[in-house]
Amino acid sequence: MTQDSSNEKPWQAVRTEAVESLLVELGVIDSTRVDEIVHHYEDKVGPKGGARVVARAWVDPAFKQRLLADGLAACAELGLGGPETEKLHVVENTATVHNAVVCTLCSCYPWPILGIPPAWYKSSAYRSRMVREPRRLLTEMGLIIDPSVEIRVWDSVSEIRYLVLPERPAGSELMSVEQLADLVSRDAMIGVAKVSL
Amino acid sequence: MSLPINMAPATFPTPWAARSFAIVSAIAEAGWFELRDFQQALITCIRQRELGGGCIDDEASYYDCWIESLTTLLGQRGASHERLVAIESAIRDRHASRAHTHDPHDEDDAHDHGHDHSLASILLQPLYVEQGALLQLSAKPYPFPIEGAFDPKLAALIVIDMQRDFCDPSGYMGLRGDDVSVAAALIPRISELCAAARLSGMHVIFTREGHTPDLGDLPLSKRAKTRRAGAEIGASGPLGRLLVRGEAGWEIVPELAPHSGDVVVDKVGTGAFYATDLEHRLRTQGISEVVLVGVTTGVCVSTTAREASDRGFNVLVLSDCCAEPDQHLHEAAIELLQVESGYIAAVADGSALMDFLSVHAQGSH
Repeated sequence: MTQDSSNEKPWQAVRTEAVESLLVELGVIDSTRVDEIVHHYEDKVGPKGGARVVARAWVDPAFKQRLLADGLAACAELGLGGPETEKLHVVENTATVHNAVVCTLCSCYPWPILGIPPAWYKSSAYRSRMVREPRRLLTEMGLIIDPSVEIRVWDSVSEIRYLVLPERPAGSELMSVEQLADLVSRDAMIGVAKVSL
Repeated sequence: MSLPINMAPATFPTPWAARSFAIVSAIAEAGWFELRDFQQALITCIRQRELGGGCIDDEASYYDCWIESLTTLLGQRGASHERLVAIESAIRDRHASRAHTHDPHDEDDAHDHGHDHSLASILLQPLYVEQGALLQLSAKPYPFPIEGAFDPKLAALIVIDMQRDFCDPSGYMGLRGDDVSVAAALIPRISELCAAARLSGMHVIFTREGHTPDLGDLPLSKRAKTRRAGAEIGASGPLGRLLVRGEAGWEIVPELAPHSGDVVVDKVGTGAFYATDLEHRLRTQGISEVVLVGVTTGVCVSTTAREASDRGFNVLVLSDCCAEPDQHLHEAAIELLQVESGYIAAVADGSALMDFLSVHAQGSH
């Protein structure tokens, strides 16, 4: 559309405002609710939720079993969840299997557990290359997977979202669950990084 | 301890991106449309952009698609486009009058700060996989392909030598005294596979063995071996000269006649790569997976599998869609292709590919 002057409001901003305004006129939505949702995603949800889930699974084998059996139900135990995810499949990394998650078609992601996906997750490059050449792409992203380790790539869809349960790093035996949670990065729960001390 | 890790919660690049995200969520809550409807619109929008040569390489391009999808759905749900345009124009006017006084609080012009990994520089290899879960075929001794996903558009079904000379009792193979009924029995199965492959966007390639009428491309050794077997290449038979280009016996069986868009590769040896342009074609099309069917398992299928494997292609052989006159040798050949944990090829039944492609088709939009 336009990029004439820096003073001009971007068309996307204009469109967004207009859409909201029109939907309010039509009685479909209410701006207060939109404010609440923005606030929720900007300040409340984020990868820290997922990190708590992972840390708990590391220290509590019964929880881990429940998590692997039904991801959403186990996350709900920790107060995490939301209407956006119908099924959460938790895939566990082991010494022989590394899991990674992609959404080949758009940007399906376990929002209530990890927050908003990072920019690269939505990029054409990641979405296409993660399935074609995961090992090479992971290397480029700084994660070298030993050739003996099998890489499994999971394609998120609207019905099923995935969360990677990373391996617990060696040497973390004496750490508290809170300390463990601080180690777990968002990228590790997508499967493009490992957790280390 | 490690360096600070990226735990920044929200990665909305701009206020309008956050707003447009929340609007979709609010609409879904209100039940005006479902999130999956929006997701479909988003998928379509992203795909159109990528098919048109564009790509999603930053937050801005992604949220552009988001807003376009939202606008599209609004239209589909009957919201007035004229009204939308009128509101936009009012917003612009208001903004223009405010711009004179330079309102520092208008942060809609804030720029993208959502980059962490910069993938924009990575060479794109567009790919459209349309299935949930693990994107591989079940095969032995490992899922196929061994790494990465099976994308039909970047895979080729190679139908080897399903010619009358190998399937018809009056052709070359029959005249050798071999049982061609096993090859003929493959025809319906391969025909079904070809149809499913074409629908899925998989490349379909036929090979055809044969020599020029002057036999100038027929090695003496090959000629002598076929003479000794009682069916010398170039000799006359009921279907014309055996394995000579242009003769009736040399044609692909009519039930499997190539469609337009299929590729036919004429070969002079047992392997489909030797002295042909097959490798060049596969590379040009970006194909990395080849699925082999046809005859005979022990000779042309095996040689082609080995040639492909050495060239770095992932090779899958569909064992019940290949044949060898001697069943025992068919099984031995299949066994040998999987030697050393699938060193040459992975092996599956035709149904594995059919199942994969049908799930794939259901996922298509």
